[in-house]
Amino acid sequence: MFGSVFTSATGLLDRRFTVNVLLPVLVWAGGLTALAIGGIGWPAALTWWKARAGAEQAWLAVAAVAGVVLLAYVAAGQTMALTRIWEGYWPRWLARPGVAVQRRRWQRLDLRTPGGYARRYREFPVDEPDLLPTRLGNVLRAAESYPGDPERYGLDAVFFWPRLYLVLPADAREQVDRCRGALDRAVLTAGLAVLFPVAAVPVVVWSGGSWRLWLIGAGAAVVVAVLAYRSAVDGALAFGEILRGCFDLHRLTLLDRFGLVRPETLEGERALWMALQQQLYRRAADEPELLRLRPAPDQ
Amino acid sequence: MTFRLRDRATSPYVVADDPAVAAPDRWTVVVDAHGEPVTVLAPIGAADGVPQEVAFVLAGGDTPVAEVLRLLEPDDVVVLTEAGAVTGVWAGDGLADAVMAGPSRFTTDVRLPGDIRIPEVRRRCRYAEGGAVCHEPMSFVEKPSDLPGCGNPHGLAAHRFGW
Repeated sequence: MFGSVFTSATGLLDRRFTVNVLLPVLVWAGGLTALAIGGIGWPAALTWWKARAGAEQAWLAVAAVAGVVLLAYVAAGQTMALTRIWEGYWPRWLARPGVAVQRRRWQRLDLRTPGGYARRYREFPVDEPDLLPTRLGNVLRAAESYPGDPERYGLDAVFFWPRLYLVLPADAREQVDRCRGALDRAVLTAGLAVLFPVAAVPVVVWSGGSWRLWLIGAGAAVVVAVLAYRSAVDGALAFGEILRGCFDLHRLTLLDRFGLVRPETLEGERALWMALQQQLYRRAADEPELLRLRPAPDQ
Repeated sequence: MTFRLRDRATSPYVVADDPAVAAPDRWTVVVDAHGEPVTVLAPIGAADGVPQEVAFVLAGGDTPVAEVLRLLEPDDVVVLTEAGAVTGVWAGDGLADAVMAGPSRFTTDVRLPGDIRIPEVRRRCRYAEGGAVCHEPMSFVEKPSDLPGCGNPHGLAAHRFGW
């Protein structure tokens, strides 16, 4: 019954949503349900289910699937907020110990060795004040600060990414989506795993379940959270490289789509990006005269 | 429920033998002697920058939309053929929107989780008096609607910051 309703429901949904969001939410809800049934007792639950009429079973199945899908949509909408939490965008007092740990790791890197330098490049921002309290945060910040580095292009990745994304070729967008999907799935799974022991408390209380079972569930959730977090870091490393590549290869296409004259030197390009981002974001630029539009093709 | 291309192929079109000229208000699918599409011409008067001959993708009407979207660019044209005949065209804004929305476009795809860190605008005061320019530097979070008073370090007449 549940299987056929679920198959019909997932047929209506996109595969990416099903894999990245619905599946983790389904496992999470399934775990809570198992805890509740464990409290009630499997024979009692089975007897209760068999006592329902066919139509009632069908409605219950539809309601359960609808509930899971609804929860999945809510979870999908919170992915960005969850990512920021895992990254360490916390109040300063809470972030301080984590930043101290990350700073020690950052300071221990020997930039004269290829391994040490590569690690800094992939996993840490260049400047110490930019350190975040978690590894995931620093991996993503390293990628986000790559195009903005004044020794590279000096363009703000967070600001320009939605615009660059619109001009990426379809195959590049697909790679971006795939890497971002893996990151989102891992972040969501880690978040749900952390939430599981908390959400399980009222379930155990309501069903009169066993706290020993809750402890086992909580332990399993911690293991899942750790593994999912590690996957998120791996996903962020891959996404970070794709992000850098998109800016390296397609930023000039973006300039063209803005209709601006391409600068002849890297130095000129940096100044142009600065002027453009200031003009668009802050409504004024240090050097607005750099923003020269290309003549229309027929002129 | 899976959406098929035939559900989306509602753009107006005309089939014409080669050589053909573009129709004013519809897509022109130019076919060879065997009825195979060889070129697609954009409607005359389509948005500036759209070339008259456009890249097109041939597909069957039964093809799921999600399978094709990954392969398309926003300015492509999808020509549907069934049993050797052209049966529909999907192009223009509808297709561009679908390509940008993608098979599934999550809000996280188009946003990075970090914070925007664009430096404040730093300008020098352009107030001039008797050939002397003030040049006092000042930072602004954005262009102010009311300009503040200038620090006036060179002792010119009291003035507002000269943008």
